[in-house]
Amino acid sequence: MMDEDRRDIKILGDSTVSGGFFKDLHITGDVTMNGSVDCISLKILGDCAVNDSLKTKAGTITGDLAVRNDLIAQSLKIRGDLSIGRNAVITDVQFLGDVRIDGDLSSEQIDIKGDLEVKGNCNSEIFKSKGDLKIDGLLNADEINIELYGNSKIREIGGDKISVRHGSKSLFKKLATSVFNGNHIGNLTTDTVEGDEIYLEYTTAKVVRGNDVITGPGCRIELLEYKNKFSQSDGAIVKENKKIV
Amino acid sequence: MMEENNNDLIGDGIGNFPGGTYRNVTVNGVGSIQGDVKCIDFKCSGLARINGNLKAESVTTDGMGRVNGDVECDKLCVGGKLDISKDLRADYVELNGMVKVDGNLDAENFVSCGSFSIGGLLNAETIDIGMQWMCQAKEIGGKDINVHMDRAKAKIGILGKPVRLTSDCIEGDNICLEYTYAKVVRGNNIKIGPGCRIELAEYTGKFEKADNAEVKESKKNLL
Repeated sequence: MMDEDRRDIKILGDSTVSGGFFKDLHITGDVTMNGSVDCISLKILGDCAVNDSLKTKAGTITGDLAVRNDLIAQSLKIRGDLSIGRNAVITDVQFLGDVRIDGDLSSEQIDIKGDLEVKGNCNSEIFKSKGDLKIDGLLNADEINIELYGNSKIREIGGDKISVRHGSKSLFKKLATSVFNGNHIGNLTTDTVEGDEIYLEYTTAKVVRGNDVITGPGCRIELLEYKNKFSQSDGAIVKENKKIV
Repeated sequence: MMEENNNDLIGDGIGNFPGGTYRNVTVNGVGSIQGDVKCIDFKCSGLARINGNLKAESVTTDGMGRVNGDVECDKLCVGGKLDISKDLRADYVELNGMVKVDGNLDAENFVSCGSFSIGGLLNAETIDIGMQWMCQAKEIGGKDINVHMDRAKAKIGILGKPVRLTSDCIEGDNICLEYTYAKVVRGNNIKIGPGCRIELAEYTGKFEKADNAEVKESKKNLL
């Protein structure tokens, strides 16, 4: 579809949009999209429900977004909750809110503040999160930076630089955690963590395998295999560790 | 009486905050506030959810605000979207974006060139509506009510729906309407302009009707 054939749509008010190709799609209001929507720039202030797939080059959504099928974007910034029925392919994404993806999440840069649930796999170059994670498949990224607040569960983690830390206790983080659980600190449960440089805190894993591995406070590791260096803090429990070639 | 409170509440990231009395509240990220909020300036450029009532001197939103309760303020400026589950009470309302009020909207001055949907009564001394988008209020009451369409800016709407103000009953002293669909319009001086469809117009003073305006029945009341 030639870009010149796309039209701009600006709507102020609740609306129902049928599918199609658009250039700038700017909506202030709650909107239902009946059919696949393909646009260049998407700006939504309000709740949006897409009954098929949503594709955009760039998008900013403030409000809740629900997509029945796939979400494809080059750059996306979402403030609000997001739910995707199938896969999400977003090159550069900033989530501020809770996200649920029933398929896979593929990206180059993921930055999420909020809870993330992925039923499939999560692939990225950079993965940065502050919040609870639940990934049923594999989390695979070159650089992984996880800040734990509540409990997280990821089946397997693979990457180059992997860091899992307890989230900083700033007043503006989830107060509920400290209110209900006292000083409870979130914990990450995973089967395997495999990478080059690995730093873990509050992680329970069966196997951790890497070049340089540091296990910090709260870790419970069954088997740790390292090629280069390994250091274990006082608060970490590592049942078995061995240097591998 | 607002107690002195020097604490600002600033939500840049994502967070849950307790309600209470603050100095200024600014939500740039995603902020959920549990309980009533009292402050001087409330500004939202992100997504703010308040589960309680909001009372402030000024409320400004370029982002999205959802209040599960009442909103009471001196000045309200909506450039983005604001949903209010109960009533809105303000001295001055300026609407460029969209406001949804499930209850009543009560103001001194109401100026809009955006879109609004009011479940109850829109009541203000002066009501100035520049029609560009769909506007709806169950009932409208005021002293001077002026609804006009800027034809250069009028959006016919890609959705096939013509841009209109719809209301069951519009009542005021001086009423001037364009592109308005109403069942009853009642006032002293009534001017029904182009694009209107009115079922009944009752007036005590002057009545004017444009050629392409539909007024089913009009009657002069002696009072």
